[in-house]
Amino acid sequence: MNLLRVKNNFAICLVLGILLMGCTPNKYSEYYEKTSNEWMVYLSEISDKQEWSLNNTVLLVLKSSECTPALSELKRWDTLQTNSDTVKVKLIILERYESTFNTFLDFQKITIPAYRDSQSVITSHKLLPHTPMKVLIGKNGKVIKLGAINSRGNEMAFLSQLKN
Amino acid sequence: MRIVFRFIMVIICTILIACSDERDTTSKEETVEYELEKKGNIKLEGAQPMFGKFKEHFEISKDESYLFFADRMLDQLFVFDSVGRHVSVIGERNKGPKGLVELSDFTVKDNNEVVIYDAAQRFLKTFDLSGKIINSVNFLQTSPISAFELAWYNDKIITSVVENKFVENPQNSKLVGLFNTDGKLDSLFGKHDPFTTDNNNFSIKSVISIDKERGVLYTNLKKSPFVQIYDMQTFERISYLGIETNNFRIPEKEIYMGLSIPEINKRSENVSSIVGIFTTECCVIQHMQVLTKEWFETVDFSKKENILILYNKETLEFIKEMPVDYILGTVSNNKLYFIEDLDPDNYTVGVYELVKSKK
Repeated sequence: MNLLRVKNNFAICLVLGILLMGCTPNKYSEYYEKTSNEWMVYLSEISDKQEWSLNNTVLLVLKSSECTPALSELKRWDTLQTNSDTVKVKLIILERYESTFNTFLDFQKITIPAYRDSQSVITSHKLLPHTPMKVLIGKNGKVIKLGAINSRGNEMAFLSQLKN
Repeated sequence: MRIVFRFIMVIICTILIACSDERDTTSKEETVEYELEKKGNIKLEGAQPMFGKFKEHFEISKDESYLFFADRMLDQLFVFDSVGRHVSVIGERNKGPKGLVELSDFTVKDNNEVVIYDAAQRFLKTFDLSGKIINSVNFLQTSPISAFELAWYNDKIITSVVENKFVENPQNSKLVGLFNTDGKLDSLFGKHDPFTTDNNNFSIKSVISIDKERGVLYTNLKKSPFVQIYDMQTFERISYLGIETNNFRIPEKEIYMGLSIPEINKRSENVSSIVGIFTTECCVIQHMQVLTKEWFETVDFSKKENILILYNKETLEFIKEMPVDYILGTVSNNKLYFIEDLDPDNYTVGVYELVKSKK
């Protein structure tokens, strides 16, 4: 009888635990609610370049002084975007000085279209929790995937969300 | 009776006046304060747009003819003369003889040759001023220690170190490594600051500075307010000084190995760090920075707070804590070099001296 009661209690706890875990919000949930329009407002604030659409776009956001793992992934995205007709890749560098920004692109031999956020206004737009991060905006203009930029980055797995 | 009473009162008053006079004399004694006095500017020219982002601390040759700046983006060393004209770039971006993968630290020898530590390749490479390689030796390739800051002393290389087996409890580790020019370990000495167990922060790196005239080594764990002084003849610790000043702050939540970088950054907001230790004729100077939220968001060096903490070099007594507007790049021959403009197109170093002011 006692054993049955213990088993029942355990089952109840398990169900409650699963329910609670299901209710726990994703730590990035507020950033998934951002739209391509909000990203375009941000880009127009940091640049004169006109973006007509950010659908099917990967945005890479880094500082100019990232360490090697993040830079390695950046280079892989550079190769990938050169060979892809279906996905656009854009780079946003948080860097105060234009010379440093230009030296960074030159040194890393980056051909991805790049923006410079000289005042780190991305913070006030609350578009990302931190950097370096990548954002995938789907064909409907919604953020469909967020991820860190580091050595464990798997670009194709990240892009697989586009097919869904 | 009344006369006696009056006489006593007169004596008491006289004594009181005499005492108060003495107090006045004391208050009129001049107290010596230290202030920064600007002596000039050095604007770097001729290297733009070649460099990306210099590390905050730089070095000056013993004869004061050259300034050496490590570029953290390019992993190269940029050399300028004493008025800021570009001289050369040391190191190439490859794995060849002159190649540097990671310019971890460097030190300038008395003959102006430069020894660079490449931690990624585990090499010490020595270059002349023009960038010609003099020699390259293996450094710590199979060693059970990790090295951080480099200094040059009596034809030896000195580094702050941690023994790898004590990374998680560095208070048990030796602190300083003395190496021959062939990269071989000569000796290990010193102990990590015991404050490492009290600072709520994972910290194994110490800054070092050698007072060559006195033959003493100053070390300061980056997350500690305390300075350890070692005799370079005996390798014995001769002093442990310092106070927790108003701006010294440890993290509220413990920072430990295994935390994610965003979490480490969050817990490090408003935490202080000793990023340099220097000496002048009069003083031991700690360069402390407070890591702000803005700094973590932007990695813009100018967003950190900079504070100098002065101790009397003779008595080792605390003198003052001095917030400053700029990053202290280095101290050489009693001059303090502050980076006043970080823009590569207008990179400017202000030269100052600590002068006594009487109050």
